[in-house]
Order: sequence, then C-alpha cells, then structure tokens
Amino acid sequence: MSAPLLSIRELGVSFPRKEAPSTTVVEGVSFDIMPGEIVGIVGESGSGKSMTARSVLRLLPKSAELSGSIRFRGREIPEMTDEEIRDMRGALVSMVFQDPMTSFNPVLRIGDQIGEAIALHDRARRGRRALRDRVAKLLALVGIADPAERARSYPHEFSGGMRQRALTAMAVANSPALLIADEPTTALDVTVQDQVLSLLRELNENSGTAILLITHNIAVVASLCRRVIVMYAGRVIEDGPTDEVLTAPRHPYTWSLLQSVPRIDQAGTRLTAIKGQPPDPATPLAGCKFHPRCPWAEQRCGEQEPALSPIGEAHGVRCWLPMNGIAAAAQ
Amino acid sequence: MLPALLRLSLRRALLALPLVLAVIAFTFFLIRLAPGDPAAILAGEAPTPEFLAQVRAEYGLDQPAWRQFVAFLGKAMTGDFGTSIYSKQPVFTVILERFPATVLLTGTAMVIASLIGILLGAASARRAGSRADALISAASLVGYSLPGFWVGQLLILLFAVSLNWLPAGGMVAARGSYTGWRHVEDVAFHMVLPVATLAVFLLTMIARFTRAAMVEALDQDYVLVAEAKGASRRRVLWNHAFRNAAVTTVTVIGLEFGMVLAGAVVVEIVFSWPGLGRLFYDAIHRRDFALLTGAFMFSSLVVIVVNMVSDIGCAMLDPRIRR
Repeated sequence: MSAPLLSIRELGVSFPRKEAPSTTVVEGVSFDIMPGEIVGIVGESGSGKSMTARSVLRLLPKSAELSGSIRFRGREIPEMTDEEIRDMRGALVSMVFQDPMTSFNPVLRIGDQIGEAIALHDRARRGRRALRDRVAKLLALVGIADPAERARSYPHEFSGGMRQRALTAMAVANSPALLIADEPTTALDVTVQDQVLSLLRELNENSGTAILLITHNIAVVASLCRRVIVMYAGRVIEDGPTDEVLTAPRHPYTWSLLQSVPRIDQAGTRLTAIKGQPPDPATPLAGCKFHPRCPWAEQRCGEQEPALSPIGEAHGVRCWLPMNGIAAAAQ
Repeated sequence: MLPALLRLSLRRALLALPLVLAVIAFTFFLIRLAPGDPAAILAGEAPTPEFLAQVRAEYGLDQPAWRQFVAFLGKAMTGDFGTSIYSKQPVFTVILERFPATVLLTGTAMVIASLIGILLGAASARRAGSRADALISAASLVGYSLPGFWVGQLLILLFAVSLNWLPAGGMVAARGSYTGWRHVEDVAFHMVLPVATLAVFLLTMIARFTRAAMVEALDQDYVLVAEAKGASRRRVLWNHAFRNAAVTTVTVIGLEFGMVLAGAVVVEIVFSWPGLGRLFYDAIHRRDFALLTGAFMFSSLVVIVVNMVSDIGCAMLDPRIRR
C-alpha cells in the first residue's frame, strides 16, 4: 500500500470567545486520501465539512484556531511558513469554491485570472503569449467554445455553468495532486451539475488528480466517489466505501440522512425528516452528538462519546450501537 | 458600433449640456436676487441720481432680469461672456488668467490627498478592527471635521510665524524675481501650507471611503479564491481588493472635487493665493455681476467635467458599468 497523499489526524477547528468556552466547529477529524482517490465528505450545513476542507489550505477565517495534524506528502501543513503554504496553494493543492458567481473577481478578465494562477507558480517565467496559449488550452479542456476569445470576457459575461467550468480550469491549471471541491455543483442547475461532475471525473482519470469532494448531495457522492466520509456536528461519524455506506449504513445518522433523500422507486411516499436540530456548537453537549435525535439512543449515548472504530474492511463508525447493515436496507 | 467607452463618454457629455445651461440660468438669477447694487458701488460715494442711472444703463442693469439673461445668452454663444464691471476686462480673460494658479493648488492637493488617502485606507482595511485601524479612523474623523480656514491659520501660526520655516502667503517671494528652476522651487515652497490645508479634508474622505470599500472587498469570495491560488497578501490587497474598491475611491474623488474647489476659495484667501477663489471673493464684494456669473459658470463647468472624467474612470475600472 502506498503512502497517503493527505493524512489528517485529530483535526480541530475552534473559534475562541471572550469569557466563554470557545466554539468548536471541527473536532477529532481523521482520515486519509490516497493519490488519485476521490473521497466525498457529506454532511448538512454547519457539520464542519467546509472548515475541514479549508484547513487543508490554511484558509480558515483569521479568528479560527487550528489543532491536530494535516500531513500532505509527509509535510506538516500547520507548521509551514507563509511562503511555503503559498507555494503549495494552487500548485499542489487547489480548491474550487461553492459559488461560481462570486468566486471570480468581477473587474478582471477571466483569462487574466486563470493566467494569474499559472504565473504565480511559474518558475520558468513564461512569456505573455505562452501564458495566453495555456489559458486557452485550459478553457478548451473544460469545454468552453472559442476559448481564446472567451478568455477576454469578464465574469459577468459568463453563465453560471461556464464560470464553474472556468473556475475548475483555474484550479487545475498547475495539475495539482489534490483538488478540493467545496460544493462545486450546489449553485448550478441539474444539467450543468452533470457536466461539472463529468469534468471532475475526467480530470481524475486523465491526470490522476485526487479529489476531495465536499457536498450535501448524496447523489453526487454516489456517482463520483469510491469512498465517503459522513460528518455531523464537526465529527466524522462514518467513513467507508461509498456502496457500503449508502446501501448498508452503520450509523443511525447516515441511515436517517438516506431516509430523507427522495427516491424515484418510492414515488408518492412522504419523505422522512430527521427530528430536531443539529446541536449548537457554542453549547457543549455530552456524549454522542447525535443522541438527542437518535431513535435508538440509550443512557450511555448521552454520557460518553463513542470513538470512530473499525467495523468491517475500510469502514469505520462512531456509534455505541452500530446498525447491523442489513436491517437498514429493508426499512 | 463605437467602442463602449467612447459611447459612454459621448452620452455623458450630451447629458451634461442641459445641466450646464441650468447652472448658468440659476446662478444668473441668484446673483441678481442678492442684495447690493453694483451701480451704487461703481458710482462711488453719494452719486447723483442721474449719474447712477447712467451707470445702470451702461451695463444694461436698467433692463429686466430676463432681458439681461437673453442678452447674456446671445453673447455667450459667440464666446463673449461679458466684461467685468470692476476691471473692465473681458470676464473670460480675467478667469483664464487666474485659472492656472488654482489648478496648480487644487490639482496638487488632490494628487497628494489621493495617494496618502488610498494608502491609509488600504492600511487600515488590512488591519480592520486593530488598534492601528481605530487610530487611523479616529484621526481621519478629526481631519474631516476641521474647518479649512482654521487649519490654514494654525499652520501659518506654527510654520510661518513661530518657526519661520515656510512663507505665510503668496505664490512667489515678493522680493526675488526668480526664473527657471529657482522659480519652480519658489512656488513649491509657497505651496506647502495651502496644499496641506486643502489636502487634509480630501485625504480623510478618501481614506474613510477607501477603507470601507476595501473592508467589503476583502470579505468577498474572490479574495479567498485569490489566496487559494497562492497569491501573496500584498497581491490580494492591491490586485484584487483595491481593484474593486478603486471604483468607490474614484467616485469620491470626483464628487469631492466640488468641495475642493469651494475649499480653495477659503484657502486662497487665507494664504493670499492669486487664484480663482480670491477672484470670486473680490467679485462678490464688488457686486461684479458679470464676473460672478462667468466665475460660477466656469467653476460649475470644471466640476461637471471632473465628474464626467471620474464616471468614465469608473467605467474603465469596472466592466459592469460599461454598457
């Protein structure tokens, strides 16, 4: 087995507050990403998935406190100097953000912004013409027609789908080893979503770029990822092969989440919502973070938090009473 | 199809025309509504009624105001803006003679205020919420609140009277008649205090607005994206945040130009600077209707043109404004 590309151990992100315990939004998150692997992180808003992703590039808000270990190719990211992290950003690890409408600088040409991503890491100092050619090639790669001409456009002259593709082109400009895509399809309509997902799959197949895909859309995970990590209230609660997790979930939260997804073979039935609200990160909650909403919770669930423990091959779950994986499919 | 920018400039110029006309009409009648009779001032002390009537007739002051206005417009079309009642010279000539001194004063103040204002605004936006930011904000609020005539006189007291480092007024040394480089030096020396007085106000405005616009820009997604590309802090600040905030800065500079011109009247009086401001001031006291109309018209025109230029500047900075 080769060494992991990215290895996260006991990652924590918290926001200190004056005269109160700090707000912890990510705690005890650990997982690995192998070179060329596509891993999905699912979870609802506020589950800490975006903060986990942004920690990798150290792009957290100024007031955030980071703890734990993030190793990229064996190098500890939290210990890097500002210059080292800048050299890594956009070159070895790059990121596609959620909202294509606001991710481009509105007053600069698309081509210049993509060109900037290249020029910032271009040790050979290519000339303007070489840079333009490279930008046009990238835009063509993501399926934008007439790329040399379109590179001169401003962001407001692009549609949402085109912008997301241009953003992806910008993120892969330097053939990164890891691409972090933070809800890349959330703001797009369904047909365009599909195009962007195909694009990501092609990138992965053609250049071996590992992808960490953050989403709250389980269908997206099902179509793209071999492995999925489920997050809830800042913790990884389940981590395993996508087909296993989606068909035979072991954590009650994952199970409830799957129950709330509309399915075409069960048309006409009411969707099941998960009762209650996710816990407020500002108020500490003892025990398993899901226990107030869990139909099977017993006394110890509210007293002590379970660890993420292996259950089957390459599958982990953070639960005292993991589901047996068979009943879930029948329910 | 004309290029978007040229089309925008032409449209703005066309829109400015009725504005200029309205300004002319407004100032023309406003001056005549003000108390004071230029004929009485011209005729000297205790004139005979006959002489007073003669003076009035000479300058057309015996006609109804609307008649005077029509006559003025007719002449203005041919480039004749009337004759100064006091100096008997064509208004246009008198104004053009004084214009360069004012341009030098206000232009220098604007350039210096813009540079320092932008730097201060950017510096405090970058450290938003810090002590340095609070200090800059407080200082600019103070600077913004200080009246120009008071700042000017304080500067004179300190640097000219007490320390005797700089001249208290005028544009050139009274006794030396320098030429060439020495002349430039002499004028620059005399400019320090009036420019500083004028720049303080503008600088604080520019700093405050630039700070606000940059704080907002720094919070945008594209700044995060730029950082994720590996851009340095400085690059993010100037190439991304300031490029967006610049539209606000340029708009403020354009809008504040009118205030600068008004401020120049005060500063020119305090520092005996031989510019348009002094000319206006004297014209008001002499009830020099012709010169006042011309002066108002001219300065309004300058303000309109500067605002047009700033609009076009904004369109150059932000492609979304061009259409």
